[in-house]
Amino acid sequence: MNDNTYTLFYAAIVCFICSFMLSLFAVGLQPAQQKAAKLDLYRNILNVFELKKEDGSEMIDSEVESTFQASIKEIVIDRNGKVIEGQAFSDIPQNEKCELLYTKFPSNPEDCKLSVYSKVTDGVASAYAIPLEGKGLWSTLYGYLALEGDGSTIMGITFYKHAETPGLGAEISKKWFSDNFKGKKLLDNTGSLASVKVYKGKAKDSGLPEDHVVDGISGATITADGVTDLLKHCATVFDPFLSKIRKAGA
Amino acid sequence: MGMLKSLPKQISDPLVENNPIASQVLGICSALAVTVMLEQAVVMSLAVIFVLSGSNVILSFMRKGLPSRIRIIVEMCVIASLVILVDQVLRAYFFQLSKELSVFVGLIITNCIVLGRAEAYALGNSPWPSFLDGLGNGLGYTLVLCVVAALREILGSGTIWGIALIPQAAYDMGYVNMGLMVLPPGAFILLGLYIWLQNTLLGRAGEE
Repeated sequence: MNDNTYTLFYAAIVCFICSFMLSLFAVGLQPAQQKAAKLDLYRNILNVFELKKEDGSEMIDSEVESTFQASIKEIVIDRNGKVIEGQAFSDIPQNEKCELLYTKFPSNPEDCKLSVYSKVTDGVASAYAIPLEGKGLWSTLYGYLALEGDGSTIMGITFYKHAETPGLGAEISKKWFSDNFKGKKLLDNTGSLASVKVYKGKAKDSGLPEDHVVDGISGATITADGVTDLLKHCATVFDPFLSKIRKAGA
Repeated sequence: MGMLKSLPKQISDPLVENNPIASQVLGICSALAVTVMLEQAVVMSLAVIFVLSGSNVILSFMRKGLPSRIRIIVEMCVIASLVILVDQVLRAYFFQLSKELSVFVGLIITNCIVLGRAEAYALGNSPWPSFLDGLGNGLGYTLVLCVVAALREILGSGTIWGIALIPQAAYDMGYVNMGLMVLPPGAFILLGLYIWLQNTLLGRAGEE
């Protein structure tokens, strides 16, 4: 066998073995990965609604699943805030779902669908979580914003998927950052949408109304600005639905 | 140093004398990136140890038949496959950590230590010594990463392994975390100090 044929043959075998092994592992691990991703999402939503165990300990996987099923309900809405009954969001074809990212949002079809989660206490929806999506520094940030029954007061915020710099932008998923949002309001005194700004520095130095500003993250200004922008955008997108809740509550 | 002597040379040598980061100045990129918190540094180190010893063993087995013209490509192929494997396993069983590390795990492929050891050692030695060499270099990498990460976490965030170390009273009295340590330049400075300290202790004079 001459030299070239041997080299080509060798390369082909290496490629075949490597790709075969990798696809074997990728397929084999897929169920575990999907389960881990789903549980992580559940955990984040329970967190944002402050559903914890009474003794404060961490929930194990099966508890996360059962608590989620018992106290969280998915609501499918269209972009005008109308509730659509009897359909699970996961059954809706991808092209009928709204693209939430602000660069893509305007090109959505008129009747595209969105989903929100509600926290059900004694059979009544007592709080709502709207999905968040927007650009940080390196990556798209995905999260949820939980609002109390008044559709304005923030219960919590969580980011479950992003690829920001560990120690800097990635602090957005830390407790100290999300804790700052508790009790802030989307609406100002006149009832118009004011959203919440992540200020560069300490919130108390910003001169903005206290209900609409939180502390920034030093070294992560662009990620923080991204959070400000996505909050404003997503609050606007879900405003038709939230207004209905506000009216029903009033 | 007595304990070090009893280890095989392949392991003891890269720990201090020939440390891949501090002596050969390889793998600096990831050493800067993942040393903000100790926990991430440890997981990253374990991943590097696995990839390094794995690729060393596999390439050592392949060394006799390996056509030299496509040598580097085959090495990269093996290393990349191992890295993807680590990434997939982390995603399935250590979801939280993989979320924090994901970008950097992929970058193990470009870590010069891995390709460097394959070229310099595994292609010329049999599998068992190659495994020890990979393990030793991985541990050397771990040592530097953990020292730098521990210092950065204490100085930059006031915690160690995520547990608060500086009492709240100190903050109330006006103590402030050192912001520089959280940023990459902090790692550069600490790494420089580490290399300086090591060279001084080993009695190496300044190079010409």
